[in-house]
Amino acid sequence: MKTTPLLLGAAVLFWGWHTDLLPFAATIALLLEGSRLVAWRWNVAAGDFRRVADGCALVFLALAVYLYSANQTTRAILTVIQWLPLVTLPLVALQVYSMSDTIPLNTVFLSLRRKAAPTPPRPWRTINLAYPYLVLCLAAAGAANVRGARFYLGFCLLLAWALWPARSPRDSALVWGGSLALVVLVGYAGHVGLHDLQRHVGDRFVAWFTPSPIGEADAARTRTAIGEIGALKLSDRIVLRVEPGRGSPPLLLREASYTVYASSTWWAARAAFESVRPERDGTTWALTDDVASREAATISAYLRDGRGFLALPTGTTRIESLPVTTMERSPLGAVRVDGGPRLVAYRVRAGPASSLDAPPGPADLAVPPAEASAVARVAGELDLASKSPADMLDTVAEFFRQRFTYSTYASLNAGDREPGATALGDFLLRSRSGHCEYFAAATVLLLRAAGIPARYATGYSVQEFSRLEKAYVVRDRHAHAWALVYHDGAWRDFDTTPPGWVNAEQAAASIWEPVADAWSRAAFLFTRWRARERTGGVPDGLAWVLIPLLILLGWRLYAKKRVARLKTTAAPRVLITPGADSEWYRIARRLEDLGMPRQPGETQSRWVARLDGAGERPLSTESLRPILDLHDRYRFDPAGVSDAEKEVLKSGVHAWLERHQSA
Amino acid sequence: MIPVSQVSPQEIVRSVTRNIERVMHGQSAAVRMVLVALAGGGHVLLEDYPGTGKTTLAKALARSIGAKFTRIQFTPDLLPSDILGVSIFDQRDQAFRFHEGPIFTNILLADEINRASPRTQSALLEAMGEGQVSLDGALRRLDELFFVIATQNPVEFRGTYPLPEAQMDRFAMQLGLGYVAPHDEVGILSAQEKSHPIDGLTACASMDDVLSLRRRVGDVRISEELKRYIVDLVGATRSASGVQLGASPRASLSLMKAAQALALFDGREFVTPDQIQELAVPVIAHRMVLDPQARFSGVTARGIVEDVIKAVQVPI
Repeated sequence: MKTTPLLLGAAVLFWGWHTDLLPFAATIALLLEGSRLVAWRWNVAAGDFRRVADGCALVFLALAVYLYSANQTTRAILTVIQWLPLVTLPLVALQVYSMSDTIPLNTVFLSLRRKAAPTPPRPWRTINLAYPYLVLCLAAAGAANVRGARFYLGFCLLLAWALWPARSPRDSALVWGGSLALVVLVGYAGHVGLHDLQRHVGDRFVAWFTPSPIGEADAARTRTAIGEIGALKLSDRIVLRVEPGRGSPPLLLREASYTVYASSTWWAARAAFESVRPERDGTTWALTDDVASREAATISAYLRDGRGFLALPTGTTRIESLPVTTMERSPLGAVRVDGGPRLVAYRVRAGPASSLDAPPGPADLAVPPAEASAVARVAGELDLASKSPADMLDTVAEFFRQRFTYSTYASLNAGDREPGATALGDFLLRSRSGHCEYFAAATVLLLRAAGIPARYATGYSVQEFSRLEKAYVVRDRHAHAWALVYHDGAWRDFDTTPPGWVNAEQAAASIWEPVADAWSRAAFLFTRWRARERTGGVPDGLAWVLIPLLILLGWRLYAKKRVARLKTTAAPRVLITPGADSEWYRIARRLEDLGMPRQPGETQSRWVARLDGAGERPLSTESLRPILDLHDRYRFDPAGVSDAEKEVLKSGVHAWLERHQSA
Repeated sequence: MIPVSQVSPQEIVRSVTRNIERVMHGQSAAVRMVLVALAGGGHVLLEDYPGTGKTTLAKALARSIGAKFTRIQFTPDLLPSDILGVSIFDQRDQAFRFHEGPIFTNILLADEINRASPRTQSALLEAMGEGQVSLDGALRRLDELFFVIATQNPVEFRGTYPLPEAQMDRFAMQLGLGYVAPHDEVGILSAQEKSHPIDGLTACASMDDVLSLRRRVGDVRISEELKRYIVDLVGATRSASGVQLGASPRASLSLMKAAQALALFDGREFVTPDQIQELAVPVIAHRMVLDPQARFSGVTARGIVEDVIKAVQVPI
């Protein structure tokens, strides 16, 4: 079966439209439909088809492994599906540019390849990949999950387009269109109903199994793992890349800070966001007046759906090269952006101390009642009240460094914890072992008890230099929490977690980490390249190598193994069928109505001869002969018939129909 | 300039048919087909079991037309020069003189053609295809009327060489005679009680009659739509399952010519799909090469052509 012209191109564009890969889609569509314009074809052997199919399968596997290692979520499956039209393109393009319209079936089925060759050898059954590819494009477009009518509408239009050439000639186009419309409507009702059902079941499920609402990670509050039992494990995924500016890189990158602690959750009170206006170029954002700031770092981060919180060093004054549409900041130093690309790489200028955060208030000195007794006990032990603020900080840092150990594993034997003690209190008084959240929370409360304003900050710690990236990489497991203290008239980072914590986390790293890193690097480069393409930047040196290589490859393919395609006439010559308006067809219809249909491949005269004396009411076909002869002349004689003869035919048919109507 | 016969084509056909049927009982369909091939300018291959009257039909046709008639009995030791002719050195003239072989004739009966080796069979290729013979570096044209009527036993019989595909393709039609009905067979016995009736057969049409018949065939009109129908039928055999080699464009050409001739016999001035369908099996079937697998599972070329006729949409 020949592929309907332009159908594949349209399907690919539809895919590109939904998955936001329109430039790719346009190229693919041009490539696939362009085959109709070129006058050559490759002479592709079955082995070549198999090799290309194997290549596609390898690319598919690599993509699946990468996406899973990069995301580790079920989202990866949807992304793999979205990229399928690109992965399978080589095979389809090869078929389109090969001499045959189909490829052997065993190319795409390993099970068939293993089967022994038949004796005597006969050609494999073949398959036209265009239609499976069409289905693939539609599925990939669907995986983009664009809500709204445009997907279903386009889907139905493409299906109708594909089915139109294969419709049965028995029924009129109207019947065909009507039944198609019915199917479309039923399909619409069906999927809307299914969606509602799923939502309903989902809601009920959530209501049954999750009694309390799940806290969303946001700047208003953060749930800590304080008091949770078991190992705390974060992934090795690289989330940030930090290229230091002049001097050493910032040690801590803060995303948000919080003031109020209650039952393992930190809350940000009085933290309404206010928007920041960009400077004239639209990508530079001045947060405070530029006082004695220096270039601190260039930070590359992914924004999910174009929005998220920026990780910034304390003391940030200015952010450059950040193409987002809106930026908001909170008085607690969180900076939220929206409407940006997937990957941003922004330059940060920072001063010595933070000026983003609001000056301390009463909330920054509050110790929650539940923790007050434990905190007061430790403060008393350390004799904080009698010391100066600088000594206090030293004492607290020394206290945690000397007497505490880092651990991501919290065990709890029954009776271990003193009755009535909170998880934090237990950490301070008894276990003296925990992860950064314990240290940060305990430090904040201890300092507050001693009268120093403090806040709880979350973000990332920068410490791993990657030779592969030539930059500092920040992984998920480098997520960190520390205290902010108000000292000497400014907010400063104060990290009391024992320095060994990085090594402890490192020890828990997966052995696959180097592989995942390499993938991550490739994906980062690709995304950055795409971003630069979009903003019209100069492509990497890599592109200058790749382009000539691609041209060379294209030329080698073009020059090799081609055979000229026979010139087919551009449009199939329209056969003129004279006599298509012959009155005879009325008799033919009448005969069919009488239950005597023509057999396939039977000519009119044989049909009439067969009917002679047949049927329920024997029918004299003798009178039909002269009419049929005239019809034959009208239809098949290139000389045609005169108008008078046409009249004779017409009247003969009328007379016959009259006779057989009354009969 | 060919003299134009005043006799109508139908008249010629009728009288030749009547003449042949004096010796061939119950074979009117085959006789009609042979005459169609003669008028359409093609050659005929008769294939059937021994003793079904193949040679008799060929001889009767030759005798019915007052044309030069030769017969070659194909044997395994026959050589190409036995068919085409040979140059012999004449001592008196000190020169080579060409002795024409039996191929220089009007009607050639190639009896049991598949008994000769393919080498000898191939000597007929050029003559049948183009009406000429290249020999000793010289091109010799055959008469305008050159009609080969060959007979052969079914291919699987002992002591036969199957005809090469190229040779098969040169025959416009292949016909089988088959066993006649019992009462017709009794008629054959009665007719030959005393002597063979073929001895008393005289020519009832001249060579000019046949040539004018051929020219009249060319006057029969055929519409574009039916040409397309012919091409579709022949093309469908190439993609039918179980077929190794489908029919050639030469098959389309032969089918058109034969359909024109048949239309003329039926007294029509133009071709209708009926003629094409009637001739499709004898014109197309023998040109196809079937898959061994398909052949063993009982598929025949005839069956495939019949299926194709049913499958291809007929102009109505």
